[in-house]
Amino acid sequence: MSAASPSSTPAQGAFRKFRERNSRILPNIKARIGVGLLLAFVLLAVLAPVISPYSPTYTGFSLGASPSPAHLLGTTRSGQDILSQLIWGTRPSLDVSLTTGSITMLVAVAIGILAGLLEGIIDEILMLATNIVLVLPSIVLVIVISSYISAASDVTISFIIALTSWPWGARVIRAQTLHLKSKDFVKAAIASGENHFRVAFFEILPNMFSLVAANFFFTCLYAVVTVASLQFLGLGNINAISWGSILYWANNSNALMIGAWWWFLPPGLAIGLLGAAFALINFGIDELTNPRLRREGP
Amino acid sequence: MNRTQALIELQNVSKRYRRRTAGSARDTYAMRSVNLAIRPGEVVALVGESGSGKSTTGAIIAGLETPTSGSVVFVGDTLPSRLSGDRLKDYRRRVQIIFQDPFSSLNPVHTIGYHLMRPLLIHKVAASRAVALQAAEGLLEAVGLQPAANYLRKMPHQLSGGQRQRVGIARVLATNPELLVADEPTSMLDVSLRLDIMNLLLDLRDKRQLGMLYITHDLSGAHYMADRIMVMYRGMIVEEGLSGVLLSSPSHPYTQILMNALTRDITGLEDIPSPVDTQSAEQGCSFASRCPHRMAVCVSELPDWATVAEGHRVNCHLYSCSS
Repeated sequence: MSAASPSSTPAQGAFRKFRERNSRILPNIKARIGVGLLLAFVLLAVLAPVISPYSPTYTGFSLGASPSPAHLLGTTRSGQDILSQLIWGTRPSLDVSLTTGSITMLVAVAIGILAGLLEGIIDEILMLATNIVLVLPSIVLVIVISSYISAASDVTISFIIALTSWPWGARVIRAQTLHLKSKDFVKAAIASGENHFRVAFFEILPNMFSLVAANFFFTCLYAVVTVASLQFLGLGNINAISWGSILYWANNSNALMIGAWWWFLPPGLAIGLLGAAFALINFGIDELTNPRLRREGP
Repeated sequence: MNRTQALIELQNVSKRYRRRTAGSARDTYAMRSVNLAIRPGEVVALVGESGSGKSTTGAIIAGLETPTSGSVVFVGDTLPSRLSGDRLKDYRRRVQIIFQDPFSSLNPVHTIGYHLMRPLLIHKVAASRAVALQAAEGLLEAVGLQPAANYLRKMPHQLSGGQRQRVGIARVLATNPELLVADEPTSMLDVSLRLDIMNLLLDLRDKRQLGMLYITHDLSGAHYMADRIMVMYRGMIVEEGLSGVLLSSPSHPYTQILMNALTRDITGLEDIPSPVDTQSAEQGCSFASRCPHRMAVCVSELPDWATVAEGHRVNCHLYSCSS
């Protein structure tokens, strides 16, 4: 158990810690596939200018062509290359989902920890606000707000989605804060003179890493789908190239009716795959932190 | 008895916990009018069963809880009900607490070195991280963890229970405190390690003239450690005295039962009511419901303190009535 490990330099120690951590996450097959998929999308987004065959906005190709060697996924009714649109569309989709995930995570952590640490009236006010936002029909609210703000930018959309999706995380994080707060190591930190800020962010928060990460990826998943739905409905900026707007234009041009599967299927699949990546990472985290879900294996 | 100024003194301290359940509030007294004093270099043992309020007493002394009523006097100064700012920081430096469970008292995400360096840096005992690192090594050596440099980089889960408890003690010593609360520091350890930890604490007391509140449910441990023993039952101190005197002639019925339990004679121990079952003890003696010598007066009036011998007092009607 506590076998004395040979003494090592700090660098070696850090390396070993890194390896230990990775070997704990990566053997999990779901997490592995999820991280792989996500990395693939990130690569696609970063390398879009290099690998995209044409400019996604150039409209000079033949109109509504089916797949051919020149246009692997055909062209739109207005003569744009769909593959190029799909590749460039990765950027805003990833952008919005990660931004939304980050904003939501920050709000959820701040409110959850604050409510959990400061009992009494502040806790009650924060939880009241949380519960109110929780019961708001979020998708409806998002649609209403984003149609009110005409041609809302991606960042605006991120904020709108975050506005309605932080309460889930906040409640879970508050519960976990209450649990950790009763642990002796938190009392010991207080007794040795740590201030509230350090207790919250250096003693309690690091112990909730998996919870916070799970919350982040869950929100990312939610954001990918929500943003695509909004754009499909024609909200947000439909003239910018994104998976959602490809779907919007496909629908607008009756792609489904004329059987132009190369137009609506790839962006739909991309949304599904990115969502699956986030979901798989989340399952992986879940299994790692909940031993009852862990499978026997090497 | 020595007359030097007490390090800490609790005067009529009560602690009430209010439990709110759907509209109605229920009060539970964890401490009722507790008086207690600890002098420099003195070990006072607080003995009692689970739920007797001994840990609450420790938490109040350690500044982790505030009393509902009564006052805490620290080196002659009556503390305000809620310490803050520099005064709180100063108090935290001078009063430290060792926890019962070594598996939950160290943060699983921080190294041993981090645990030891934080108090040094917070209280500016060490001017820089490098100095703190040196000092942390010294602390580990002081509690018998050698070679110290090896332990600094370890995570808590790599250490055994006994090693962790030593780290817990080392952390507490970092700020060079004057008063130590040891909340059942050995109860979660293997029997073979208990004596080591107790000796370590006594050794530190001798070297640093620490005052110590040693909280335990084990009379023999209390006898080994303490100069004075206080027996607590359901929030009240029922008997106190110099260790040898108290243990050779336990006077309160509760202490007698505890002593009998120690010698395996458990007659009279059969009915054990839950320690915090009712508020019935509101007026009478807290032990009345369980006492083999219960009299009418026991359930209606609080007993007074009676001196049974030099340095040995008991809070029981059996003694106050006759005298």
